[in-house]
Amino acid sequence: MIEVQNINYSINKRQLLSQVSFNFSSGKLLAIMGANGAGKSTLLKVLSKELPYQEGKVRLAYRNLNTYRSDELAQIRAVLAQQNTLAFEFKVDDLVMMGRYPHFTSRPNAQDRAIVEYCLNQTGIAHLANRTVHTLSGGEQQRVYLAKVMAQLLDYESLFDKNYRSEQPKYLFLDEPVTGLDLFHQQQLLTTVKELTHKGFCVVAILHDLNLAMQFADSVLLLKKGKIVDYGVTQKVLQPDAIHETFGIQVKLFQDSQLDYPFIIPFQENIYHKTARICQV
Amino acid sequence: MNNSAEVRFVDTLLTRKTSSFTKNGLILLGLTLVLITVSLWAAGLGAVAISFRDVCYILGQKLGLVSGAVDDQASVILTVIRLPRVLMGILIGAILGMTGASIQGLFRNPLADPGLIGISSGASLFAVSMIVLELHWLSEWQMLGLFGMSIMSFIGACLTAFGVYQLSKVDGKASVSNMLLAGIAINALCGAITGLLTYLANDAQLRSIQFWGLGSLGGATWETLQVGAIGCFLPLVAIPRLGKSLNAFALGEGQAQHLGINAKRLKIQLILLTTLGVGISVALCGTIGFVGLVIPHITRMLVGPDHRIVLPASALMGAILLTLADLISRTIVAPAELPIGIVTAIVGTPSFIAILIKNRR
Repeated sequence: MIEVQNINYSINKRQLLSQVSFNFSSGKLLAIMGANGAGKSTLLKVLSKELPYQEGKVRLAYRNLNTYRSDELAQIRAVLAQQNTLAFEFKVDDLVMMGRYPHFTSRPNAQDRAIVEYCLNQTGIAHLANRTVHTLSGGEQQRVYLAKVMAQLLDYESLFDKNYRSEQPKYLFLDEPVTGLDLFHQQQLLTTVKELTHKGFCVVAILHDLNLAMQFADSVLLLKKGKIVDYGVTQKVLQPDAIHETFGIQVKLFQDSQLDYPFIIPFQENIYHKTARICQV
Repeated sequence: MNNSAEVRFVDTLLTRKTSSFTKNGLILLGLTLVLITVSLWAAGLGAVAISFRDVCYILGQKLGLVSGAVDDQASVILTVIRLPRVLMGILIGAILGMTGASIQGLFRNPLADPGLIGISSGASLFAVSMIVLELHWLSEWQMLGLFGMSIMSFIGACLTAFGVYQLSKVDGKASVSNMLLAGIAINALCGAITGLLTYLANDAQLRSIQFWGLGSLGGATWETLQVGAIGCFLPLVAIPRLGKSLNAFALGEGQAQHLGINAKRLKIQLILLTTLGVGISVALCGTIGFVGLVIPHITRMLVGPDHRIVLPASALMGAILLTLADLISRTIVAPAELPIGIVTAIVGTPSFIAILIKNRR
C-alpha cells in the first residue's frame, strides 16, 4: 500500500510536484505517464526516499516513509534507475548478488545464492552469469539490473511456492524500464515485472508507451507540470481527452476482437501546422 | 520445483561459490607467503650480506625458537638496522596499497589516488614548513619529540582533506567529481606554498625537504615503527570491513543508497581512515608516489573487482612491492641510497602506461 497525500516538491522555486495525492494497493502495477519534465522521475524519487519531500505525507505499508531507516527500506524497496553506470568490471552474477547486500552482513548464504540464480534464470541472462557487465549490450545490461532489483526483493520461499506471499509488502520502482529495449525484450521485461505483482509486489513504473501501459498496467497516473491530470484504472484513464490534455496529442482507440484491451494510435493532420497555428495566435 | 530438485539446485550453487571463496582465501595466503619470503630475503641483503638461512636462524633465536650461537655483528645489523626498515616497508606499502584501493572505490575511478584529494600535498606542506620555519618548540616537548613531525603532517593531511571535502559540497552533499576538482585546486595551492618555502630554505633544510619530496625508509627505527604501527592499525583493520559498501558504491551513490548504504557516512569514514593512514606514512617516510595508484590496478587484474578481496590483497601487494623497491633503493648505489620515490616511479610509470595501453585495446 502506497499512500501519498498532498505532496509538494520544489527546487530553486520551481514547483516540480504540487498537491499530488493518490493511494495505490499492493499486487498491482501502476504506470506513471506524462510529457518530459512533468515530474515523473521526481515523484518516483520522492516515493523511494531519494528526495525528501517538503510538504505532505507519504506512507508505505501504513508507515510514514520518513520513519524508515535506509537499511530497513532496502529490504522492502528496490529501484531500477533510468541510467546505470558501473565503475569497475564486475561480473554479471556478482552484480546481481549486490541486490542481496541488504540481507547479509559479510557472506551470502545458500538462500541468497539460490535467489540470485533464480533471478538470472527469470530474466534470461543465466548464460551471461560469468561475463563482465561492460561487455554486454544495452538490453542485456538492463536485464542484469532488473535481475539485481528482483534479487533485492524476492524471498527464498517464493522461488518454490507460487502461492507464497511475503509478510512484508515489497515495493519495486522502475524508471523507464523499457527505454532502449527491442520489442521482444520490452514484452519480456514487463511480463517478468507483471509476474512480480502476482507475488504481491507493489510495482510503480514510469512508461512512455501508451500501448504498453494499456497492456500491462493495472492503474495509470497521468502527470502534467507536477499535477495529477487523472488517476485510476488503466482503461478508464487512458481515454482520448485525458491523453490530449497530458500530451497535447489527439489519439484514437481501436478495439480488436482478440484483445481484451484497446490499442491507441495518435493522429494529427500535421503536428507542425498545429505548432504554426499556435504561434500565429 | 520439488524438494529434491531444490536440494540439488542449492547444492550445485554451494559447491560453485564455495570454490570461489576458497580461491580468494588461497590468493591471500599465497600473497602472505610471498611477502614473508621476500621480506626475509630483503632483510639479508645489503652492505653486509646475511644468508637467508642465517636470517631465519637469528630471528628464530631472538624469538626463542632455537638456541645456539649466532654471529653477533650480523645479529645486530639485522635486528637494529634491517628489520625495522623492512617492517616499515611492509607497513607503509600495505597502507598505501589499501588506501589507494579504497580511494579508487570512493571516487569510482581506477585512476584516483590519495594524493588526488590533497592528502599527500597537505602532509608534505606541513612537514616542509616545520623544517623551514624550524618550529622546534614541538620537538622540545618531551612527549611529542618523536611524534611532532608525524602529528604535524597528519594535521596537514586532515586540514587539506577537510578543506577539499567542504569545497566539494553541493546542497549539503559531497559530490565526488567536485571533490576531484577541489583536490586539484588544493594540491596546486599546497604545491605553490611548498615551493615558496623551498625557495626560502637553506642548504641543510633543502636536503631534508628533498627527503619529503621523494620519500625514504631510511629513517626507520623501532621507535618510528611503533608510531607507524599505532597510526596504521585502525585503517588497516577498519578499511577492509567497508569492502561490501564500496562494491555497492560502484553502482553509483544513488543506487548504493537504494541498497541501504549510508553514502555520507561511508565517504566520511573512508576519508578519515585514508587521511590517518596516508598522513602517518608521509610523516614517517615522505611522499612515496605510484604505490597507491598502481597496486590496486595490478591487484584487480589478479583477483577481480570485488573490494572485499581487493582491499586486503592490495595491502599485501603494496607491502611486497615497497619491500622490493626499498631493497633496490638501498642496494643499487650502495653505500649511498636512492630515494624510494624514484624507484617506485621508475618501476610504476611503465607498468601504469602498460595498463593504460592494455585497457585501450
